[in-house]
Amino acid sequence: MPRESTLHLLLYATAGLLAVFLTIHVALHAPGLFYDTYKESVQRESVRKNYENFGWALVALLIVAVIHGLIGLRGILLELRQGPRWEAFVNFLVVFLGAYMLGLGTYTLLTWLGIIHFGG
Amino acid sequence: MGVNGNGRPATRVVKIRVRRYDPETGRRWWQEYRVEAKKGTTVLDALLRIKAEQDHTLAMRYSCRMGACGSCGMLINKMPRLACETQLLDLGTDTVTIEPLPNFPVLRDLITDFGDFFKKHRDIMPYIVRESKKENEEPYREYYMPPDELNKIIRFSYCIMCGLCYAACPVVAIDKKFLGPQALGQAYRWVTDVRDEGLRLRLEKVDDKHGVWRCHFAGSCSAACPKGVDPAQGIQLLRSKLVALTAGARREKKPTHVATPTTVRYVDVGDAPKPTVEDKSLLVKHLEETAQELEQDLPYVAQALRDYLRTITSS
Ligand code: HEM
Ligand code: SF4
Ligand code: FES
Repeated sequence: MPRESTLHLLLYATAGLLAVFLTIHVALHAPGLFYDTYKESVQRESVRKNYENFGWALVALLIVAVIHGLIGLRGILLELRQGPRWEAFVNFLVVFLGAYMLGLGTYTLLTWLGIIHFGG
Repeated sequence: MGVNGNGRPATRVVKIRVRRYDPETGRRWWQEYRVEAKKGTTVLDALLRIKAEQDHTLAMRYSCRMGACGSCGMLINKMPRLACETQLLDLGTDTVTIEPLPNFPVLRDLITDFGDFFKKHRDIMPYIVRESKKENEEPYREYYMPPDELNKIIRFSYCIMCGLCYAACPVVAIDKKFLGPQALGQAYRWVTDVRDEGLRLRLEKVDDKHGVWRCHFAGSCSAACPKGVDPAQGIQLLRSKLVALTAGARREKKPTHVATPTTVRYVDVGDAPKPTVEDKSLLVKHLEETAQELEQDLPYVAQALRDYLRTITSS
């Protein structure tokens, strides 16, 4: 695991980036901006359009949210219980979850964006 | 019963509810006492009076009775406070509840175990650390410190290790390994001290899973501190130091070049300090005037001043 200050620096840096990317994310679903209603913003066609137009922002949101959220979650778990085995488990858990979520999320997004073609 | 300037009774009977614990039987219970309080009666006065007159078994810790030693911390009306600095009537309640400090193991009644707390303080090395092993092991001369450097740390050096901040901290409540506001505030105090060279060693201790990053800005430590130390600010400043170092944004502070032991003469008592008042006649005049002013209200002090005057004028 990197040093605690490196992790926390990353938490703060991703918090700053989240402010930007979450704004884009929320804007894409706020009624009256890109779509008239929230319902319209979550229709299949709208989502596809979002991926095409803002794919890079959504990939970035996914990455920073996962990093930020997992470092935060790690902190919460380390405070809840103490002990070397628990700490090793928490570290394993966040690395595992991070790899899983980033892998699955990026794969899904890239598939949508047409960069990866699933099933030929 | 007389009344004071506000028309309120000058003395009042206050009900005191004490959370008690007997380690021999493991029993915990609330016990009530009644104490007459007037302006100036502190919680510690009340407890000592209860112990002397009503219940000899009541246990509490105290020493200086003047907010200096940090021994008498208790949870008074749900707030960590020094018993010797808290006046019963100021609390404004008819019943005052007194419990041992939270976040500390209770030994008996209001006495808690400060072992972990002191250990965490020791862990951050609360003393000057020099790079030279010889200087650390055989310090032979004090280090000087310019006044503006002293100003940077003075607020943090007022800490009396009373543990009120530690008792107030919600993170200590769940994470027993968390260094806590006192130790972290002191870590900042020492890494900022211009005479110190132990920055790296100390940062290793605080840049830990249960170190400075576990603080969540609750700020309850600073609200509880009876000395205005503001450990929460110390923690944030310590964090910015760490962030700056991690990001490589700021170079490490260089320790003082003012009179390190290697640059001053070996053991040497030096000259006696110069008298503050060089002109004796000025001092005599000042003492005479002061004695005159005090004649009415404090005749014995005036007399003492006159005696002193006689000794300096006859020499
Ligand atoms: C504009 C958006 C956001 C900002 C500015 C932000 C900022 C922060 C900051 C400064 C902390 C550190 C708090 C502390 O040390 O006490 C933190 C902690 C945390 N954040 Fe975020 N955050 C944002 C969005 C998110 C999102 C979208 C998630 C979920 C994926 C998230 C999950 C967490 C978690 C779990 C913690 C740890 C809880 C804690 O330490 O109190 N945050 N956030
Ligand atoms: S920082 Fe304040 S509250 Fe904490 S131990 Fe020192 S004096 Fe007491
Ligand atoms: S008895 Fe010393 S601080 Fe209260």
